[in-house]
Amino acid sequence: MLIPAIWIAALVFASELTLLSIGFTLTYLTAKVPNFAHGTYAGVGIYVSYTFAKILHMSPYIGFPLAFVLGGIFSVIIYKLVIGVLQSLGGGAIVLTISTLAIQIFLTGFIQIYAYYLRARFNTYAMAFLLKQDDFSVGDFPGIFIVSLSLTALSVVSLHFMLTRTKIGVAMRATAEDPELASVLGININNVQLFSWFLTGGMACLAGAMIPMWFMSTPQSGAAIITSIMAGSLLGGFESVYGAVIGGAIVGISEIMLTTWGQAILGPWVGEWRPIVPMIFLVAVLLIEPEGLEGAWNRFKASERGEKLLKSVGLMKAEA
Amino acid sequence: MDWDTILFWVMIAIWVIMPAFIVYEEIRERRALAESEASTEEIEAVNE
Amino acid sequence: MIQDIALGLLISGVAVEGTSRLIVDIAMYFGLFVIVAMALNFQYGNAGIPNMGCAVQVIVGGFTVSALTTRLIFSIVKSSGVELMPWADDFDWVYNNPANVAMTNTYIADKPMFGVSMLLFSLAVALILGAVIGWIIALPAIRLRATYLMIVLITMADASQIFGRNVPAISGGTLGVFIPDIFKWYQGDRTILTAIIALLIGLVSFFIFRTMLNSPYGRLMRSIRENEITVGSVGKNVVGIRRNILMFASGITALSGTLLAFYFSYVVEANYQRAFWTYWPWLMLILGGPGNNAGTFLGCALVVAMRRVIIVNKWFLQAVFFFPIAYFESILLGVLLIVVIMFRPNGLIPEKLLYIPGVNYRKLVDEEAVVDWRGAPKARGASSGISGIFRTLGGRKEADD
Repeated sequence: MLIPAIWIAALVFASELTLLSIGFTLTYLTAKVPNFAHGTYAGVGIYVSYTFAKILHMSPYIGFPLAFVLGGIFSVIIYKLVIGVLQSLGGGAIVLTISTLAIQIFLTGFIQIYAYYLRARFNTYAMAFLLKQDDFSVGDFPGIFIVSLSLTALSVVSLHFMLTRTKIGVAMRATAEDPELASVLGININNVQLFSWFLTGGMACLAGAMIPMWFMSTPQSGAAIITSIMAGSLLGGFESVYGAVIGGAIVGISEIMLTTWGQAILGPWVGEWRPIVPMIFLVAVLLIEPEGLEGAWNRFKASERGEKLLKSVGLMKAEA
Repeated sequence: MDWDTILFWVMIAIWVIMPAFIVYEEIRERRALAESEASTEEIEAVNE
Repeated sequence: MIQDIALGLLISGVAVEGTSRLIVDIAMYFGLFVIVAMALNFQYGNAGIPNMGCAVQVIVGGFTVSALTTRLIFSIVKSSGVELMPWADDFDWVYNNPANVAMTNTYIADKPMFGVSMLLFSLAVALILGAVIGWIIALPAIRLRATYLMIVLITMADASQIFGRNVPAISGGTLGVFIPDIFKWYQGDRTILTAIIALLIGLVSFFIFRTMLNSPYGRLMRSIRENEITVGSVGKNVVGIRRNILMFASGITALSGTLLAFYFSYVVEANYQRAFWTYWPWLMLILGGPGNNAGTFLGCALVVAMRRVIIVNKWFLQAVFFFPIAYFESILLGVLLIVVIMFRPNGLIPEKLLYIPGVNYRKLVDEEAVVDWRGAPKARGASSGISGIFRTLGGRKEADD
């Protein structure tokens, strides 16, 4: 079964974006702050892959676990140093958001310095690169296609399992809903926060590590991808993890598809406008349905037509 | 007439006047605020 | 050939050398940042609208000059008989631009009134277009909560950069567009003139904003920042007022973009980067103290001084850190933002209550007015009644909520 390259690209990007959107939504759920630096964690992951491929001359896939751990560690450090401190000092939403912006600027600066250092020291061009050739193939497909799709599917499934079955997952959900009640019930809020920051940072970094295997990356890629992440998260509903899965996938696929079709129909200049696609999603969602797909789904469920439809299909119990 | 030098010093003058003026205005406002608080305190004390 | 013309254009009006050049440069950027930061203070410090998209407003000013003024000048010059190369379609516009500008400059060289009128025209149109872009920004965002507002604004700032980069008709895409030097009639350094104008406009904007703040409108803004619901229930159109504030501040911010264009006589999208025109003004605002014009001014002064110090000591610093200074500046920006937020959230000059003649403060303010803008706007409806209007942001985390 031959899949055209554009679909491969779209699916790879969509799976990476899904991972990132889930992380973003999780951060928002636990810390109540949209983490503008989320994309930059992916940027760190990009350079981990690069380091493995070009400097250590190993397959980047070996670096994936390291990327996860490194991202988690960075995330936890940043939380302890900045966000946790600001939260305990009584910061409002705006202040926390500004601080995440500051972190993004800060981290991007570091990534740029690192890229510069790599170039100066090892004489490799770290400013814009693509690691496609370091990939393996399975039959006709590039390895990243299989890996990204399966990693994402695995993550979504295990996340669902964790959030609904394990103690720590339930603790996370409880903390997200109502921190005070959760601490009364004996949940250690601090540990839960640490864990969730570790998890989201690791996921973001892992997703970032996958990006350069197919897409051209620069030190700014991490910062640039945050728009798509926010669009995906917003589309699914800012506060819904499952929505983020769908939202991330939709935005990811649309971004690649629309750009490529646009290029085919209107000419190559459309490629430059690619970042506009998630922005359009963002503005459209906010104008039409600020709660995203999740909100629309809730409204649908609550409405008469929705109830009838769902009952007839069997998804909703009929009134006794 | 060397316009350049003249304008240069005009620019420096404006640059110095700006903060001076702003500071002056701020101090005046704060003093007015403090005075009004002090005067209302007096009135309050009298009314007690 | 284009490079030669470009070089000639860029250095022809610039004659000041050495330290004076540096001083003029500092003054110019200081004036520009004062305008932007004060408008930002108006929006955020006084009205509680976190405008993370200042870059859009500045860029609109630059685009006015590159797209509209230049074409207007070309048309006037052409209709008065001077032979200009065609500029109708995109390619000609960018490619013939340096030559056209050179010929236009010789035309302007003896018509001071023309140059000045073009300047006024640009400023006026920038004001209007800035207000228009403020209206456009307000469309999706003005009803949203603070965080959504910020997201939308940042997105728009990025979008405007993409527009500028990819639509050559506006500002020449990645190559940029040269602007006719409207100060060509001035035998000397035109940058001093632009610096003076920038400083003057900064001073004027300070007065405008201060007057608005001390008027009933200013009190209205503050009360919206404190407690929207109360103000709405009293019958004021909160959304409309916020939109007006955004439009007004946008217009003034666009002026600084215009002046930047005239300073360089060159407009390119890369000059209007988001980091430069959004984050630095925010740092100035937070450092100096939001809600407070003098504080913003102080913040501007400190940040501009710091950046110039870094640039002047570039060689020394580059020996210590091996990487280009630009990266260091962004790290410094991030760190400073975080440090200031954590340790001195009031900024260096704390906000003060508005002075209202004839009001008995003692009766209304029953506890010490402590500014803690970190708490804003966390709880809608937290402050109660009239006293909420005059008490400054948040207060302490008190039990009277």
